[in-house]
Amino acid sequence: MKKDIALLIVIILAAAAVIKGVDIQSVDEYYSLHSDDTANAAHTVTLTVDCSDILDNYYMLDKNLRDECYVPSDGIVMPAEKYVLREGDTAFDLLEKATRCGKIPLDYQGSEDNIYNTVYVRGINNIYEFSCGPSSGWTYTVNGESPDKGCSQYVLHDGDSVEFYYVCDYTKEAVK
Amino acid sequence: MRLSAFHPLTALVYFAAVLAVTMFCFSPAVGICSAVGAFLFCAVTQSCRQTASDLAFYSFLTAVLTVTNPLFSHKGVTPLFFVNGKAYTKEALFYGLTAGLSLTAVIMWCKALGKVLTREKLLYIFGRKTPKAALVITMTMGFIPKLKRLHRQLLDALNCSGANISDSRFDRLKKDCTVFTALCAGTLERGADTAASMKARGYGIQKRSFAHSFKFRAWDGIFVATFSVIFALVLIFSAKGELSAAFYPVIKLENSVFPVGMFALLCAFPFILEVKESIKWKYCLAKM
Repeated sequence: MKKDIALLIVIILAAAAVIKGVDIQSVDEYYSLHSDDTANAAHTVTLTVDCSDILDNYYMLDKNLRDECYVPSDGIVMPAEKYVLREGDTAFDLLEKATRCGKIPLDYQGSEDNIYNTVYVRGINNIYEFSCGPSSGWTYTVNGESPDKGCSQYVLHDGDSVEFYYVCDYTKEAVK
Repeated sequence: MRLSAFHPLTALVYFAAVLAVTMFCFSPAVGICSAVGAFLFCAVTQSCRQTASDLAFYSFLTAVLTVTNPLFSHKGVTPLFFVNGKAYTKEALFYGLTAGLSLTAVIMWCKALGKVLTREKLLYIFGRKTPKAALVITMTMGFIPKLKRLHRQLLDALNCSGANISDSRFDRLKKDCTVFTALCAGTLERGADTAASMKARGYGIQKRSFAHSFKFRAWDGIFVATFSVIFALVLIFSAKGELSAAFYPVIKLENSVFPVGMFALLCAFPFILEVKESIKWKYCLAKM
């Protein structure tokens, strides 16, 4: 009996650890984040999300994504907008905050799930890696340059301009 | 005529056709038709208790796949809620359900295949051309029943030796582990034994002769022709994309009634034949 109780306690503890690590939010709760007022903020950054490269390679795009609501006709998913920069915010923090404010779906691989220790952006607005050819996916620039760090390692500074953009063939893409 | 009374090749081609459609047409309609067809056939050829336990297990398997898929795939436009900041979407849920149905269908058809194509028939089909492959296939097919038997024997032996003293779950778990270890060792030993003894008897050195009298009769021809036509129709329609389904970013089911109906008929064949035979048998008994 004693062993049984010990086993039960171990199981309960394991279940509690799992439940504690899981945070469930309703859709409204998740999207209820509002962007801070940028007028009086000391530090601001700009973010653009651009998929216009798809427009040049439209024939390669997944047939189910050929719609105005996924790929806009001008290729701009999120137009350039200013956001308040909090101390220590990374490029990924900015993207996550902005997509939540704009109610745009974002999917990513957590930094603990790959060997690079950085977040990998899988999909924005339901446009995913490999959606437009086998070498396609999301990448980013800061002030027009491609950083040599992952987006969750790049700490932003005041006035930075971040652009997440979609590449249809990264092998042909020149590093900016 | 039951499916098991047909020529072994007829049955083999039938199962290959059904399994091919089930595996390569990923759509809920195909999954449901296939799973139900296979399940009905298994239900009429086995005990009610076995059927009930199958139903419970495979429903559970499908449910687990359905619920866990959205935890790994966050695609889709309709989030239901967010788990650790990632969307749990309706589309991914539906994809998991379809995957569960397909998996269940394939497992059930393999089970049906095991019932219809006995070891003797498999040896007949593969034994001439590829004796080694035939041996491997028959040994694999007989693996699970043999494993079950050996497990029972080991458990009985252990219980007889007085290991059954404690009611504690922990002790029972320990006992199961002991039995499992012995089971693995025993199975390995038996596998090696079989291979060695078959080799010692010169299996595979020369052409094997068979004493079976499987004849390809007129009924086999009619059956093969009928389901070949249906299979071809299903293939044509699936090539036209009428049996496919897209799940991301929105669910799009492009299933027309005709090909799905055809496939449902194909899947129901073994069940219909089985039921027809048992009705005939009951009728004959009543007349006596």
